[in-house]
Amino acid sequence: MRAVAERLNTSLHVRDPDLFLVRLAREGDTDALSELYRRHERRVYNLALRTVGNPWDAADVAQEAFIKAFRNLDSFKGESLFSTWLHRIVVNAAYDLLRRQRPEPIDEEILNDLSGPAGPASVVGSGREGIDPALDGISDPLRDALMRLNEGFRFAVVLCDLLGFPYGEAAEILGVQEGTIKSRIFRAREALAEALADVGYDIPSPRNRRRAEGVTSAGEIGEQDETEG
Amino acid sequence: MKPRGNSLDSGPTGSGKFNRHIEGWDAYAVDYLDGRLSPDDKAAVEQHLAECQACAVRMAAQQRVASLLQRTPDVEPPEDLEDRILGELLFPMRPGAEPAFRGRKLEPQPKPTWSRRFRPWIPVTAVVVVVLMGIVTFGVLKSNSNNLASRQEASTTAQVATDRASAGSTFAGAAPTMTTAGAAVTTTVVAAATTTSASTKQTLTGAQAVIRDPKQMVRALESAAGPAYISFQALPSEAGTPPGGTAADDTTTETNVAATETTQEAATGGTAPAGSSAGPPATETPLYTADTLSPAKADEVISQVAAFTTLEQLPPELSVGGPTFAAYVSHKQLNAFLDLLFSIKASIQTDLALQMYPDDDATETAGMIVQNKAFVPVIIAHVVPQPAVNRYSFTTSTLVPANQEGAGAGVATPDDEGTHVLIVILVRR
Repeated sequence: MRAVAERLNTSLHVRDPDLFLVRLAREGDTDALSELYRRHERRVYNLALRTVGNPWDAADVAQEAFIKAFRNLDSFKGESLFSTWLHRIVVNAAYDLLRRQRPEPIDEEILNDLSGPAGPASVVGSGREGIDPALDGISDPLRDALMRLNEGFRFAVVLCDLLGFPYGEAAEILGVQEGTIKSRIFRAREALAEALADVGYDIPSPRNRRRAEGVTSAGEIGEQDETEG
Repeated sequence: MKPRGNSLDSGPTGSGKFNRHIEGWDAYAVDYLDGRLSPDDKAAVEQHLAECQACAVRMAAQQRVASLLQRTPDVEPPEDLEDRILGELLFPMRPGAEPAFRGRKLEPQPKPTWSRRFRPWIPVTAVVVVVLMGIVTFGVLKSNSNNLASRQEASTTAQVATDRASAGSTFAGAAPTMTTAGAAVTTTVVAAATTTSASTKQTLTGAQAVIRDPKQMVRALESAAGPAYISFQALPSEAGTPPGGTAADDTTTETNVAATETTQEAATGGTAPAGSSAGPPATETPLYTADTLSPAKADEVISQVAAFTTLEQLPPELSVGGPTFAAYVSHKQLNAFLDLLFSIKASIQTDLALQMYPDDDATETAGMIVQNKAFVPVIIAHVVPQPAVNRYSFTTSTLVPANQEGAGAGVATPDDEGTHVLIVILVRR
């Protein structure tokens, strides 16, 4: 039985497990459509939530993306995983929403500004304070720090660190090289560490250390206890 | 080859990339934390970290933030999201409907492809469920009946009723006034009662209460006192006599009479079950008309259930009318487990139905499963980090070692403790 299990698992992992459902859904099978939705709803919604920053906009983004994807199943050619294709649509919908909320153009800085997390100019205010934690699941400082990241960095770190996408798939979703993804993740984490250290999280702040090399209180590195504010 | 023993300031040698500070090899730093570096690179990184305090601090910060993020839980999507999305897809031209999202409206598409195999996703359905459940629950509370059996029967009947009601609302979908009746709850109830009548009657005379909606299943399983039976069976359309499928047409003629009956029953729902508290009313007729799967599909179901749950088929003497599996599922993991079953259902195109009672001719076998329930394994869902289209993997653990036949007596099973429910999976073939 175990051998069967392994064989099945392997074969299912090699090819796209959604392909069959996509084919049925194209033929009008609403059960397949529903199942496709159920398989991806959680990651799609959480991707939207963590990148646009509040549950109301996230639901809009997820809805828009799913409807667009399901209406255009015919244009999914199977060149990537269905999941990759779907999440690319979600990312675009999230970018669209952020762009609508903020008039300045952002493309340039996403593509070119790898010099570090963006400054206050790119702060996206959610405009809704005090989001119910039950709707959100993360602390205010972490959400705020995420939302202050340059969007290119935020999408990378949300996809990989929060949602567990492999770097390769995240790279495909965002249309950049895998090395770029890793580099963005590094810088995003560093910016998050600084922001969280500033508000009292027990995280060594890279910025302070860089400024005062050698003056470190080495104890702080050693204290790897699990607190997180 | 590798710069062993080089201090930072000694200039580039060999593979000099790790002689720079961490931002000079940031992608490697990410790989280092993931444990993906080659042994040589890993050694070189550690060498650098041992000698460079600043980079060591920054690496520690990387790790702390990464683990903070990775431990952040996912959030459940809003419950109505699926209805909103599928509703918009299936009924894009709903008269009087608001544009689906702010600012722009997607062009409506011709709907024939989607309406071929109708399963209505009209918001009205949800309203009906809530209203009917409300009535029944209220009635049960009032009846102060402590008979669990009748309580279950009552609520599952209501669920079947709403199932049928949603089939009925296919027609409501065609009638604009119905679909826009979000606020007009009274109208909705009447409609529900009308379309419900036939199926309720059918439930009482023939089929047992059956639940097909995943969310209702979870609720029913959470409150289940005994074993629950989930069957994989042929889709109603493939079976010889679809239960209730075509019934809607035939029964509209007797709607008036039946509707009165139903409404009365719903209204006085409290007293009826209490009066017949001896047991579920339908025990004497066959509880379920089995829609058997083709052998090929049945085999596929069996191998997928076995592969993904790691459960083993029960021996023939404990099989309820065909290949059977059984497991304890924690209330907290019902969603995960049902997700799996539904994904098997969808990929093999079968019907999936939950009953709280065994088929009539299987009562005895079902009793034997209960007697042997100490041998039933507990199934545990694990979250799969990635690539994770399927979010869970499952393992099983047994209460009684397999080689101790007959040693199960007196073992406290997890369903006795109220944390788990015993689920019997039937493959109708």
